[in-house]
Amino acid sequence: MVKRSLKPSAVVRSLAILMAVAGVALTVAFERGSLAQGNEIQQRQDAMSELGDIAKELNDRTKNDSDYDAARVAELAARAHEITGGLGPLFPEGSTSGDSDALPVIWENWDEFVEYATNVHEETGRLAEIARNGASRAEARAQFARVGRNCSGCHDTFRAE
Amino acid sequence: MRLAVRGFAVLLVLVAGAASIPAFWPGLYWSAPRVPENFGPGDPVRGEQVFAIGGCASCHTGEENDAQPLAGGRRLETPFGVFVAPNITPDPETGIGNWSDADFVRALTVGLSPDGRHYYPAFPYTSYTRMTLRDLVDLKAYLDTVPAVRNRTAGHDLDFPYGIRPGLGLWKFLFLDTGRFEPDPARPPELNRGAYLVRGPGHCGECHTPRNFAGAMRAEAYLAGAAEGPEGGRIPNITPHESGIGGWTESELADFLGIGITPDGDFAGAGMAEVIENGPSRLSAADRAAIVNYLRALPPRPFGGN
Repeated sequence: MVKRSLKPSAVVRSLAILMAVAGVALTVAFERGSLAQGNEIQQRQDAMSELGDIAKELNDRTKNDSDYDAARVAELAARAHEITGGLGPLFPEGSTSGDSDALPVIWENWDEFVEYATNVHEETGRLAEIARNGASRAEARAQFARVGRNCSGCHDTFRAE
Repeated sequence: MRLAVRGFAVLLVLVAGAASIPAFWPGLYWSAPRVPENFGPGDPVRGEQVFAIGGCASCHTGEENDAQPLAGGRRLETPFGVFVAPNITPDPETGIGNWSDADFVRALTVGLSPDGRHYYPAFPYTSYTRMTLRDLVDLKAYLDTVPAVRNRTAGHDLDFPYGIRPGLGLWKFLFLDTGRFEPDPARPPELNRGAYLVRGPGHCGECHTPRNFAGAMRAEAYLAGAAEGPEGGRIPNITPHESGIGGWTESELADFLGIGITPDGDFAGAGMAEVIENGPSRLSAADRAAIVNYLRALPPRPFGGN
């Protein structure tokens, strides 16, 4: 038997590499949903993550009188107000692929979902406002707790366990 | 008839006879702590704190936005059927306005109505039985200040055979452990305070402890969480196990009871958000700390006690 060289030509080699890279990219994009939905899932996960960090700091800033900083509370609340004002577009119909915890019931009960988002947007706005206007630590904490109840209210119904 | 069969029949009659006492004459079998003559009037200001930790509003206020406080009507959907919480405003006809302090104490410590009928343990007298007389009388005094609302609530809608109320006599005979909380002299006062709040008025175990086939809490799995809680949802383990609160700091637990925030910046959901709002959030920081320290001192148990 003639020993033929098995080395692929340069063209074939380039094509193989291109296909491998494309395959990986497509898989990653598909898993993250960014191919199907244009990246909303990642954006909202980032938004929620940032809101969680804001919540942690708001908790620390309103627990003790010595750590209370009304200006910082106002700043954090304002940022949360900004984020929560833009949630709707991050939930396009049926965007439940990949590692998203969003439940299909979001779009079945869209009005209720929007109500929670609106409430948390308003309550964070209120927190920013009262902090700017010299609210006491206790007042700020009470308003922060009110914000939190809207977070959990929505999560209960619309987010997977 | 063979002697053995006849003997068994006699035994059956005796047992049935004995069992009928708790069922039909419960007042003979269970006696509530007596309110002494000179006990004095209750303090409604203290009573409001007891009301907070007792969590009365979470069941006795309806779920509608315009529900009148404590006027009842709220439905508790359980594996046994639907319980409807009664009106506990001071309305004399449809609420508890006609109740004496002794009636109130009896209801909360041994689960008997003023006319001697058993209450279902959906009303957690199984925990409230541990409350002090002082707390009970103060709580009654606070409830007397709440606006009276005329609202006759619907009866329970229970599956067969749970609707047979005298059967509760047997249930209580088997499962009810009445009696006031006794502080452990070997433990510091703060730990005893936490134990009292959790085991008594806080009645945390009523949700957080898994139950047996008859719906009684499994003491060996106290606070270890349940796959299916009273209203069907999963209830977390709050013992200091890794599947429970083992990874939480004292501060995180205090913040959770204070405003419902979790260590990752999320907030308590489902029933617990309401519990916190009506309850621990309204207590002193010292009482919250006592609860936290008691929970952290519990033996760690895996979820569900398994």
